[in-house]
Amino acid sequence: MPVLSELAGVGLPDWIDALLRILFIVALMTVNAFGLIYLERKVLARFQARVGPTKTGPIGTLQSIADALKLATKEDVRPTTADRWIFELAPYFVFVPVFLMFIPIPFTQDWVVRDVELGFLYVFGVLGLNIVGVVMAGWGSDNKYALLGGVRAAAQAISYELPMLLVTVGVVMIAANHLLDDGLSTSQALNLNFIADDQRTTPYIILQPLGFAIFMIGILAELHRPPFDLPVAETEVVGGYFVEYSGMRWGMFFLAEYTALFLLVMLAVVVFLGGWNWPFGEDVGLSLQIVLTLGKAGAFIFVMFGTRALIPRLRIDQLMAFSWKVLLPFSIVQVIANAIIMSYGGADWILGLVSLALLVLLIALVSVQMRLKAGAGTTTIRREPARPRMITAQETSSAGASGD
Amino acid sequence: MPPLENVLIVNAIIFAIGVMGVLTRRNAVLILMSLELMLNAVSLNMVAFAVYGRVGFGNFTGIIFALFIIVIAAAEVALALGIVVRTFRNRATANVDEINLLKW
Amino acid sequence: MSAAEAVYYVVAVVAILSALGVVLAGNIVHAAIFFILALGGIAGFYLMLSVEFLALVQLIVYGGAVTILILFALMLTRARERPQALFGKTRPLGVVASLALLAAFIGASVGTDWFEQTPRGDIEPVPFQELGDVIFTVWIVPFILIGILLSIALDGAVLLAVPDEED
Repeated sequence: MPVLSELAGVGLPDWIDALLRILFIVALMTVNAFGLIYLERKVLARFQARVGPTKTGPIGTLQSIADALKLATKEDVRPTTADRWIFELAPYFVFVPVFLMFIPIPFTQDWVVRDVELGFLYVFGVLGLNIVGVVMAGWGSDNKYALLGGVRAAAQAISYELPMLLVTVGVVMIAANHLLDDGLSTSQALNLNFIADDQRTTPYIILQPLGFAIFMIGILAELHRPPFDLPVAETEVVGGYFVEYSGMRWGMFFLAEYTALFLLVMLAVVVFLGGWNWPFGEDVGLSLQIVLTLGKAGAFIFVMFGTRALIPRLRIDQLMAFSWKVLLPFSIVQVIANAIIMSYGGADWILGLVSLALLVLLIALVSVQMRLKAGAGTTTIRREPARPRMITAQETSSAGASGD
Repeated sequence: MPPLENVLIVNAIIFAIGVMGVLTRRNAVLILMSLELMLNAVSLNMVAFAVYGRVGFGNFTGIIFALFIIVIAAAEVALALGIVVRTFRNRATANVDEINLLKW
Repeated sequence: MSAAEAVYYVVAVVAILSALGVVLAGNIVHAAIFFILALGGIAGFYLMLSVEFLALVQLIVYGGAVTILILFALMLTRARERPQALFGKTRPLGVVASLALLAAFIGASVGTDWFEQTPRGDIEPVPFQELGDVIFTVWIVPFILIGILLSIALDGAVLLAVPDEED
C-alpha cells in the first residue's frame, strides 16, 4: 500500500514495511470486529422488535468494548484432563488463518496489502487451516459435546467448501476467457485485483448468479452462522467446540468468526459484485472507491444478519444433504456449462442466462422439497397415509386395563 | 539459493525419517502419516530437480510430477484411512501388531 | 549468509524437526500436529523454490483435507482412550535401516556430478500459463487418469464408510 510509505516519508526497509502492514491489519480487524458485533446486536434486535444495547455509551456503541474488557479480565480456565498443547494451540489455528486471509483482498485499486498472484488459491488454503483449528478445539477440550460439535462443524465446513471452490473455478474460467480473448497470458486469472479489474462493465453476479448464491450460502456455512449453526448452538451441542474456552481464548474464536465474516463478504463483493470497480469504476478516486466497496460489503453483511434473524436452523442431516445432494451437483453442472459455452465461443450473456436458469431450478427444487413433510434438502419416502383399522376387542381391553 | 545438494540432503533426511516411522510405529494411522512424509520428500526432490535444472532441461516435468504425487497421495490416504477405520470396527484395535489373523 | 539462505535453513530445520516429531512423539494427536507443521515446512520449501502454485495446492490438499482426514481417523479409532504401544519390537532395526538408507542417499547426492544448474539467485517464478499448457497438452492422459482414479477413490471411500446393516 503506498499509503504507509508515504506516511512515513522515507522509503522503509521491507521488513519494517511488512511489520507496519501487519499491525495495521490487526488493528483494523479488531475495530471492525467490535463494530460488527455491535451492529449485529442492533440489527437482530430491530428484527425481533426490541432495541438492543443502549446503556453503554451513546446508543450503546461502547457495548463491544465493554464486552471485550470483560473477556480480557476473565479467568483462564482449562480442564485438567485436556491435552494442554492442543487446547491452547487451537485458538491460534482458528485465528491466524483468518487474518492471513486479509492479505490478498483488494479494497480499492491500490489498497491491497499484497497483490498475491494466486489470490484465490491462497484464500482457500487458509480456509482449510481454519477447519483444522476447529477439530483441534473440539478434540482438545476432552468434552463429549465439544468433540461432537467440533466434528460436526468441521464436516459442515468441508462439505460447503467444495461448492464454493467449484463456483470459484467457474468465475476464474470467465476471467481467463476474457484474458484469452485479449490475447494475454492467463496467469492473472487467479489474481483478485485483476478479477475486480475485469468487472468494469458487467459484474460477475450478472454472469454467474448461481455462483453468487452458492458462495453466499457457503459463507454462512463456513462460519457456522445461522441457519447452519447447529454445531455451535447452545441449545444443540451446549455451545459446540468452544464450550470449554473462557476469557480471551473464547474471545479469539469470536473475533475470528466476525473477522472472517467481513473478509469473506469482502471476497464475495470483489469477486461477484465488482469490488471497487463497478459501477463507477476507475473514474472515481480512491476514497469513493472505498466507500463503494464498504457499502456493498455492508449491504451483504446486513443480509447475513437478517438471515440469522429470519431463517430457522437446519438439522445436521439436512445441512449435509443440502450441500452434497443439491449444491455440489449444481456447481458441477455450472462449471460444465461454463466450459461448454466458452469452448463454443458463446457470448457472455449466454453464460448469465444459463446460470440464471440453474439458479431458478435450484430455488424451485428447494421450495418443492420444503413443501414435503421432511423439510429442506432431505430425501423423502412417500408413505401411504395410515388407513383406519378395525380396532380388535383385545386392544380395547388392554387399553382399559392399563388404567389410562 | 543454496546449492542443489543441500536441498537433496534435506529431502533424504525427511525420507529417512519417514522410513523410520513406517518401520517403528505401530499405530496404523501413524504409519500412514510417515508414508505421507516420504511421499512429500520425494515430490520435493522432483521439484528441486525441475527448478534447479531449468538451464539443463528447460521443462516442468518435476513440478507436474509433484502435482500428481500430491493428488495420488491424497486419494491413497483417504482409502487407507477408510480401511483402517473399518478394521478398527472389526478388531477393536488400530495397532498393526495385533491384526495378525493370517500369521502362521 | 544472506537472508534467503537464512530462511532456507530455518524452513529446513522446521521441516526436519517436525518430521522427527511425527515419528517420535508419545502422544498420537501431538504427532498429528507435528505432521501439519512438517507439511507446512515442505510448503515453505516450495515457496522458496518459487513454485507458489504447488505450495498453495499443498496447503489446500494436505493442510485442509488430509490433516482433517487423519484427525477424524484418530478420533474414530479412539486414539486417546487406548494408548496402544507406539513403538514395537522392530524399533532398533528400523532405526538402523533408515540410517543406512540416509547414508546411501547422502552419498549418492553429494557424490554425483549434477547437471548444469540454474545459477544461484536466478530462479524466477514458474510461469503459470505454461504450466497449464503443458499439463493439458503433453500430460493430458495422466491428468484424465488421475481424475478417474480420484472418482474410484471417492467411491471406494464411501463404500468403506457405509456401516454394516445389523440384522
